[in-house]
Amino acid sequence: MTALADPMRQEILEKLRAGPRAVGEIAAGMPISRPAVSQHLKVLKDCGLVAETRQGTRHYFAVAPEGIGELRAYLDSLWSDALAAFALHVEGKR
Amino acid sequence: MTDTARFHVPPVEKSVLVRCDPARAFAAFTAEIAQWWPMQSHSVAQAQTRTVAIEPRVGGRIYETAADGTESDWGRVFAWSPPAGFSMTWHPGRSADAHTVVELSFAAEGEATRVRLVHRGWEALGVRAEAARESYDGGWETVFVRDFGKHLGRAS
Repeated sequence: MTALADPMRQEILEKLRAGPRAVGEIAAGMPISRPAVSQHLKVLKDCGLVAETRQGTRHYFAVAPEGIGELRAYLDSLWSDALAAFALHVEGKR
Repeated sequence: MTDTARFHVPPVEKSVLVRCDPARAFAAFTAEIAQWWPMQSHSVAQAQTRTVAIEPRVGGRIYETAADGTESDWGRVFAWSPPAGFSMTWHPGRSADAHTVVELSFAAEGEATRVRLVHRGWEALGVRAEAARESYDGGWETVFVRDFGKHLGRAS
């Protein structure tokens, strides 16, 4: 799982910040093909960072706030671990 | 649906109360970080990480050093006021262009010290992709994306 580890995917997320977009709109101005954009969107969707909706035959993609929230929750747990280790260290030294 | 267009994410806020004065807590957090940071799990090189350091000044680096001597920047100090607190940019394994911000404060609470951590600026993770493309460093993948994947309990 390498969702955010690709600059193209970062750029796609950045484009989606402005609002839901169709694949063609996302691909416009990017140095990669439309199928490549679709592939990146699939990765982002699979890990919950992007949500897809359908209107008729058109597919729209948007940033999924809950996915970003989960990312934040992950770092929240990281800091809990770090601060717990810190407290143990500083109090153990006394 | 309109809300999905917004990217605002509230800061992560954490605090811990330790039985010592702010000066001691500040020194333990910064000068002694290599003695307590869970670097085997929370670093770019993970099991290969040998040490972590914070350079104690504005402009100072926060970085890890791996067994083979490779250094990896985690961020840079931009405010330094011992023992009240310090602030740093935060981008382990990632280009400095797309950094978040971590702020630490140390306040006396009776005989003890309240250490408060605020991690903010999540919106930056999606911006400045152009600059990030120039100097992207895939290490973030290990620390963040892989472990984040574990956290989510999904494989891909």
